[in-house]
Amino acid sequence: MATINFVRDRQKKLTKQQASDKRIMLIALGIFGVGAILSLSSLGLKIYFSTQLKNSLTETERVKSQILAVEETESTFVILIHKLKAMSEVMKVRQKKQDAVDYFSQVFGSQVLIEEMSFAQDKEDQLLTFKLLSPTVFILESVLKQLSSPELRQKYPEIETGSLERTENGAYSLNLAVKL
Amino acid sequence: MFLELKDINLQNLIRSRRFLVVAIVAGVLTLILLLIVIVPQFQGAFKSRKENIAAQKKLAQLRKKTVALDAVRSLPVYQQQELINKILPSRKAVFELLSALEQMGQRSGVSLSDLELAPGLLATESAQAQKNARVSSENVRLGVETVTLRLNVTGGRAQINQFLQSVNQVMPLTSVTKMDLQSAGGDNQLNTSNSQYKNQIELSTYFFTKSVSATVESELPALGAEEEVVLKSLGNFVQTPYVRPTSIIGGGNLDLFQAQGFEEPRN
Repeated sequence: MATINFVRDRQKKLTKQQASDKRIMLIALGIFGVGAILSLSSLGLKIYFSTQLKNSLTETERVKSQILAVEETESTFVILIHKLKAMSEVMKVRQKKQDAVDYFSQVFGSQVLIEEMSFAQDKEDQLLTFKLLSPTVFILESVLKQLSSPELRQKYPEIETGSLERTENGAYSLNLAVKL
Repeated sequence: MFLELKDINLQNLIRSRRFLVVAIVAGVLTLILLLIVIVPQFQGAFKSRKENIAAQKKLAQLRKKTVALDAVRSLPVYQQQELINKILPSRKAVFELLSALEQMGQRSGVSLSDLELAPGLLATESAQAQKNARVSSENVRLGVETVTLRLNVTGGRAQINQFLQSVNQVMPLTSVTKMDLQSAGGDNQLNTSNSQYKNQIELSTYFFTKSVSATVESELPALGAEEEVVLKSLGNFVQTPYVRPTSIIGGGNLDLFQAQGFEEPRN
C-alpha cells in the first residue's frame, strides 16, 4: 500500500531551516568565543599596564624622595649657576667698558686726559661718556682727527662728540659719547 | 487570517528553532561583553599604557637628575661656592667692600676720603630691593641689584689708574660707573707728572637678589661656556681681609651703663 506523506514539503523546509539556524548558531557562537577571548585579553592587558604604571609611579616616588634628600645641594647649585650667569654678564659689560677706556686712552695718547667718565646701561644699550682734556689746540686737532679715522669708526661706529670748551688754563675739553 | 501574538507558542519555537535561539543568546551576550567588558577594558588598558609611557619618561628624567645631583658636589662650581658667594653675595656686603677698597687703596698708594654710601638696610640677608639700591631693567633681568658708593681717590695719575684697575678685582663684584678727575692742589696743571689728582669716583657694587626656585621635576641648570670662563677667572679676585663678626663682643654684661653704686637686685 502506497503511503502519502502530506508533510514532506514541510519537513524538507524545516530541515533546511534547521541547517540554516545551525549555521547561524555556529557563527554566533564563534563570534561569542572571539568576544570572550577579547574580554580576557582586554582584562589581561588592563591588569598588565596598570601594574606597569603602578610600578613606574612607585619608582618615581622613590627617586623623588632621593632628590628631595639632597634638596639643599640642588638649591645651592642652582643659585651658584644663576650667580655665575649674572657675574658673567656683569663682567662682560665691565670688560667692554674697560676695553673702550683703554682703547681711547691709547688712541689719544698720554697727553690727553680722560677727565670725566660715566657709564650707563639700559637693556642692551651701554653708553660710555668721556670728557677729554687736551692741553693744546694742536693735540685737540689730533684727537678730532683720530675720532674720524676709519679704524676707530669701525670699532666704535656710534660716537657722538659734544660740546667743546676752553678752560681757564688754556686747555680744551671735549665731551664724547660712545655707544658700546 | 492574521496570526496573533497569543498564538505564538514560545516552547514550540524554542523546540523547533533552538539553534536560532542559541545564536540570538550568543549574539546578545557578545554585545553585552563588547559594551561592558571589551571596550572599557581596552580603553583603560591603552590609557594606562599612555600614562605609563609618560611616567617612564619622567622617571628617566628624574634618574638622570639623581645621577647629576650625585656628581654636583664634586663640580668646581660647587666646590668654589664660598668664593662665588663672596664675589656676588646675596646681601649688601658693604663692610667687605669698604675693607677691600681700603686694601686696594693701600696697595695702589692712593688715599681714600669723603666716602658717601646709601646702602639701605644692611642686615637683610635676602637683600630685598631698597629705595637706595639701583634697579635697572638689565639688572632685573640678571637678578642683581647695586649699591652705589661715592668716594674721593687722591694720588698720582698712575696710582689712581692702578686703583681703578684693581677695583675690577674687588670682592664683592664692583664696577666704576663714574669718575671726575681734578687737580688735587687746585693748580689746574693736569698734565705734569708730579701732579696730585683727586678723582671723585662712583662705584656700583653688585648683590644677588633673584629668587631662584628648584622643583623636584625641574632639570639641573647647565654651566655655559661663558660661565666656565668666569669660573676659571675667579682666582683673579683679591681676597678681602674682612671677617664678618658672628658673635657680640662684650655681651652678657648685666650693668650695661657701668653706673656707679649700682647693685644687681637680689630675688
